[in-house]
Amino acid sequence: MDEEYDVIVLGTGLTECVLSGLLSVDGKKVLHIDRNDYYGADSASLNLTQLYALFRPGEQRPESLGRDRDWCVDLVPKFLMANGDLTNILIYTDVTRYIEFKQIAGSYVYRDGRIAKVPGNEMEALKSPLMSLFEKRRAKKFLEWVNNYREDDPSTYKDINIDRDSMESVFKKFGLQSGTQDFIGHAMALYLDDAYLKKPARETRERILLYASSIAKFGKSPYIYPLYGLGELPQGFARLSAIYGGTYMLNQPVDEIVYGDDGVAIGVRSGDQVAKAKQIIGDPSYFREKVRSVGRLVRAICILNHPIPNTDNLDSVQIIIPQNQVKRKHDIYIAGISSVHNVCPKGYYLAIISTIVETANPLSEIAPGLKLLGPVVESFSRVQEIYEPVTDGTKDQCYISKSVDATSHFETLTCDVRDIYKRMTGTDLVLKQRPKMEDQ
Amino acid sequence: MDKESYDYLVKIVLAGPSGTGKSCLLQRFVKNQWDDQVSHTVGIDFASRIISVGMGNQQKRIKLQIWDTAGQEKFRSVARNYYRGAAGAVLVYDVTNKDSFEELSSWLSDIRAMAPSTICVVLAGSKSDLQNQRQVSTEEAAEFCSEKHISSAHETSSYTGSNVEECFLSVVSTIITRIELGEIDPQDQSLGIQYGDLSFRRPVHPSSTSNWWTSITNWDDLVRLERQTRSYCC
Repeated sequence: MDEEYDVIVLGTGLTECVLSGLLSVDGKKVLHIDRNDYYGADSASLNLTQLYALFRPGEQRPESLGRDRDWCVDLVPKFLMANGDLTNILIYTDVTRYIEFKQIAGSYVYRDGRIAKVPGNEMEALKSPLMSLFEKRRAKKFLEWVNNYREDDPSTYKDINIDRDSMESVFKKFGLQSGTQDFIGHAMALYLDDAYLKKPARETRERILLYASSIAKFGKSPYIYPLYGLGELPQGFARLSAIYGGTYMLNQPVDEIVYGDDGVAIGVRSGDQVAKAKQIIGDPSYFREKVRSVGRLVRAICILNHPIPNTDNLDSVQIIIPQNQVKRKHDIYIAGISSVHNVCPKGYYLAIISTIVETANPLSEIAPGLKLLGPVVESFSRVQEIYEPVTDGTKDQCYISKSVDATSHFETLTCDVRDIYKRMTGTDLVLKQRPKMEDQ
Repeated sequence: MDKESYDYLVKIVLAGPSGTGKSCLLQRFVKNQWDDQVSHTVGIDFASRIISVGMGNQQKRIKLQIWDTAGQEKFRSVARNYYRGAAGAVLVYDVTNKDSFEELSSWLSDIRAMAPSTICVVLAGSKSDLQNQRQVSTEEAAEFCSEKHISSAHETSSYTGSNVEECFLSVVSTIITRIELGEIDPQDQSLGIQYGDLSFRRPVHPSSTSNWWTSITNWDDLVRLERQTRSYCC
C-alpha cells in the first residue's frame, strides 16, 4: 500500500463504495481500505457467526438456526425505491449485472390499533379502510393537483405557491383530515416526523411523485430489494471500482490520517505503512474528531418463524407506525423480509424495527413495533449514534459521509454521494452508461 | 444454426492467489491470445465463449461465462458474492511458485463456503512452459486433488496454449454430466446454469401493465362502485 493514490477511501459502507466505483470509472487511482474482514461496514449483511460476534461477543450461535451461510442479516432496515436515484445509479453503472432484485410485496400503515394495507391498485384502494368515502374524493383532488402540476403552466398551480405555501396550508386548502394528512405525509411522502408541515409544499410533492412512480413500476409496493441482502450493494460497487483499477484491502487497520503542516490530509497510516493521496473519503468511524452526533437510532433485528401477523402472509413488507398514532415525535418503521430473498433458511422471517431515540429508555420505544410481530425466536438490538461531518472537507481534503439514517430508503444516501462527489471534483455527477458486456 | 445460440449458459469463476496468471488463462481460452502487458486485472468483468461438447445427437453447445477476480484477491479481499451462482471454478496456482500452491487450501474453503454446494472445481497449474523453474510437482498437485475431492488437475501454459482447452472442457463436461444425472437442476438459477433461451442475471425491468396513478386517481369510480355495492346489499 506504500504508494501514491488520487483518492483513499476508508470503510466499505454503501456511500463509500458507490463513490469509490464512480471515481474509479472516472479514471482516478483509488485505494479502498476497511478495518473489518467483510465488505459493507454499517450497510453489511452478516452471517450468524458475524451477527453473534457483533451483538453477543463470546456467545456461540445456536445450532438450531442451521447453516451459517444461509443467513445474510442486514444491519439496517432499508429498501430501494423502484424509481429512486440508487436504482438509477445501479442501472447506469451496470452494477445490476452482479445483483438480482425482488419486489417487496406490500406496504402497511398502523392506524387505530391495527395495520392496514397501503393500496397498491384499484381493488385495494376500494377496500381500504384508511379513508372514508368523502375523504377519498378530497384526497383524489389533492393527488390530481400533485400529478398535474406543471412548472410552466400557472393554471395547474390551483392558486398554490409551491415554494412559499406550507404543506399544512395546502392540506387545509384541499380540506384533508389529519388522518389523511398522516397517511400522505408519512406513508407516501415517507417523512419521519411532522416538520414538513411547516415547510414549502415543493419537497412533499416531489416525494409523493417518487412514491407513485415507484409503485407504478411494479404495483404492490414502491420498493425493491436485492437477493442475499443489502450487503450485495456495497460489494457490487466495490467490484465496479476494482474492475476500473481500484485496489481493495479488507481487514486492514487504519491507525491515523496523516496531515501536512497546513492541516491538509496527505495520506493514511496503517502500522508502519503510509499510503499517500490527494483526497480521503471515509465514514464517520474513521474521523471521530471531525464529526458530531445529530441523534440516536434504536434498531432491533428479530428472527421469526412465521410471517408478520395481519400482513396476508406476504413474504416481505414495510410497516409504518406514524408518530401521531403512538404519541411520538418520530415514526417507527418495520422492514420484513424472508427466505425468498435468500437472507435466511426456509421457514424463517427477518424483521427489523427502527426509530429515532426520543427518551432515556430507547428499547421501550420500539415496543409498539415488537407488539405487531408476534412470537420472536431471537432478537438483537442496539442504539447507534447518527453522525454527520462538521466541515465540508474542502479545506482538509477529508470527505466524510453521513451515518446511515432512519429513512426507509436510500434517497438521502444518494444525495450524500452526489454532494460529496461535487465537493471533491467541483462538478456535478453525470452518470455515463457503462459499455455493455458484449463490448468487452 | 445461429452461431450465437446455445443449450446452456454456465457461470464459471476463476480463483487463486494473485499473480498466478488467471487473466492470461482467460485471455488464452476466450481469444486464443497471449498478452504479457497485463500487469494486473483491469477492466474485465467476465468473458464468454461458446464451446461444443459431446458427439452427434448428444452434442450440446455451452456458453461459458467466465468471471475474473478484478484483482480483489491481491490483498485477500475478494467479495463474498463473487462465488455466488457459480456452477464451476478453476482454481489456479503457479507451478513455479510453491507459495501459491500452499495458499490453495484457504481458497478452496472460501469456494466451498460461499459457492453453491453443487460447484465443480478443477485445479489448474499455470506457467507449465517454465519447466526449469518448477517448484510444484505433478504428483503433489494430484495428491492435493484426491485429498480435497477435486475432479481433475491440469498443468497449463497460457503462453503456449498447452492444456488450456482441456482444463475448461473438463469443468464443463463434469457439469453437463451432473446435469444429465439430475444432480444439478438447470431450473434452479442459483446454481449458475441457465437454459439457452434465458438471459443471464437480468436487471429489474419495469412492467408497464399497472399504472398506480390512474388507479388511485380513479377513486371517483371506486366511490360509485362502493355505493352500488352498498345499495345492492342493503
